[in-house]
Amino acid sequence: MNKLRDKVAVVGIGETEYMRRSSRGPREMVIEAVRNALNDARLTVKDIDGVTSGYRGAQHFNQSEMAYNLGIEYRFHGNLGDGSGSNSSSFHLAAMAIETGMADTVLTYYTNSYGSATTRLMGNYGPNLGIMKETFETPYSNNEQIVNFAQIATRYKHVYGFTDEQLNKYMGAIAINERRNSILNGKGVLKKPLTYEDYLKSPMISTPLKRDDCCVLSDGACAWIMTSAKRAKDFPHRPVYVTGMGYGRTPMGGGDGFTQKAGDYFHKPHETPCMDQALQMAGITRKDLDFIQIYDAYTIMLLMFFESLGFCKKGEGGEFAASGAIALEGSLPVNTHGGHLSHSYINGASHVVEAIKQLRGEAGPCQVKNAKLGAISIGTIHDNYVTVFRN
Amino acid sequence: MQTKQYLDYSKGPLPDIDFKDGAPFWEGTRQGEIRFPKCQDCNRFHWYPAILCPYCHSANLKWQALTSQPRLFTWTYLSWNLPVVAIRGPLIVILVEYDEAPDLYLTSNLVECRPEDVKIGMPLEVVFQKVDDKLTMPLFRPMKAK
Repeated sequence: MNKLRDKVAVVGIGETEYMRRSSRGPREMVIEAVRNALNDARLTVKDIDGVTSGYRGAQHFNQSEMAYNLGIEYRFHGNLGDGSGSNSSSFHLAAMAIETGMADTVLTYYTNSYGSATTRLMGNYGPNLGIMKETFETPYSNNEQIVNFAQIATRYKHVYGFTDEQLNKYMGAIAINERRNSILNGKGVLKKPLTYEDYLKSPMISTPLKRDDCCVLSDGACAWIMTSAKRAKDFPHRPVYVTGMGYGRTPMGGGDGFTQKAGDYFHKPHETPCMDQALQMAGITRKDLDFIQIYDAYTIMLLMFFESLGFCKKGEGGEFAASGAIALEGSLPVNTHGGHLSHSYINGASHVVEAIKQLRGEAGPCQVKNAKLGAISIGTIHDNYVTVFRN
Repeated sequence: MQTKQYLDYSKGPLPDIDFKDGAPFWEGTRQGEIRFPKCQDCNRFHWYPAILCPYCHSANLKWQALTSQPRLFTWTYLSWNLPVVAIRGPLIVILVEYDEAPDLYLTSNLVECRPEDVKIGMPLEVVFQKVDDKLTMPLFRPMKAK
């Protein structure tokens, strides 16, 4: 793995505006994001010879149609991870492809288009979760993702002996931090200030999770372009190097794994080793990271990830969040653009774009001072992809 | 066999009971039993159904009924206007655990219990709600004191 350290770099990023419901569909948004990434790198479609992207059905735009519309001829194509995972795995695939000569310049894109799709509320990602879930969970209403995370939150509170007030304080600290970042960022979907009192008044949806514990389902698209570290110096922006990569999976049955007994039900066995592997490859420790962007479909999910990625002990994620450590001026700024909870829900793709902006020094009011090393962690229950970047 | 209608499942979504891998589960509930696949070599139950035992990878599997006390592992109360609440009214979604099958949780709904009375670890008893001639859904309620 260490052979791939710092071999490829991100040389172009592109995005659309983010909104609750766009009048445009996934195709139009992807085309804009890809063109913005090409312009950012001062490349044309003729320069792209590799493509990676996740594909999630009607709300996405598949690779061959994308290439047909834009006229991209490519000799390398890869996709790892269902949906969200593909955003972080794109760096793993591109590093392997570019270093081995399978491609010189790789494009990745991702979109969410809830405005044009028939997707239901609260992160239920459609009908393709598998027949086990359809048969044994959906009839009992255990299919909406918020219902799964609500049960995780209930059990978490019980196991660590927290009161309702403590759990609210912990989850609220995360929601409020992401809202603050989204407001500073200026391009996030949610821009209304969120106080702790506002958070407590947020409607209860699936106990103990409230509306403000949930991600903001939104429309938008992101794209980025990677090439070899050697070539990267000739591009207009400061290159951001891929310096560490880690992946882990815990075998689980069923559809999405939420009702499966694995680990202690909160922390999955693959999560700490996945982070360890990425840091080891980068030759750094957790303390060296200047920020991290973590997949955050719900506030409770971040609490668990702080613990299972090894940033604090089990049961202490809430105190970690409430201490201010995750704020822009804290010891480990988290989701510096406002994350899924307040900025946009593009399944981790806007987390990637933000990580690159931070390491270029282009994150505006959200800029972490002297940011040199940052990570993204994209995963839900089964698996997790961590990528570490440096400038 | 309980025939009381605790929750209205008739408007769906309903399980596909003809799905081959899961059919023995519904055969069990029609006969008033909770059955799971159990490896005859390592003696562990698993869920969901698999071709091989996920623990020792033996193909020597057989569906067997559970007999121990079910307990509440975790829960959530849905009352906001999610699509399902519009159909069935407010409801409690639960995961149930069994001592004799420590590797799995079973999804169900908790009935005959107010949200303020739910406690993790509470002993439960299964009640079977007959939806139609083919489908009987197992639900749980708090174990009544004897």
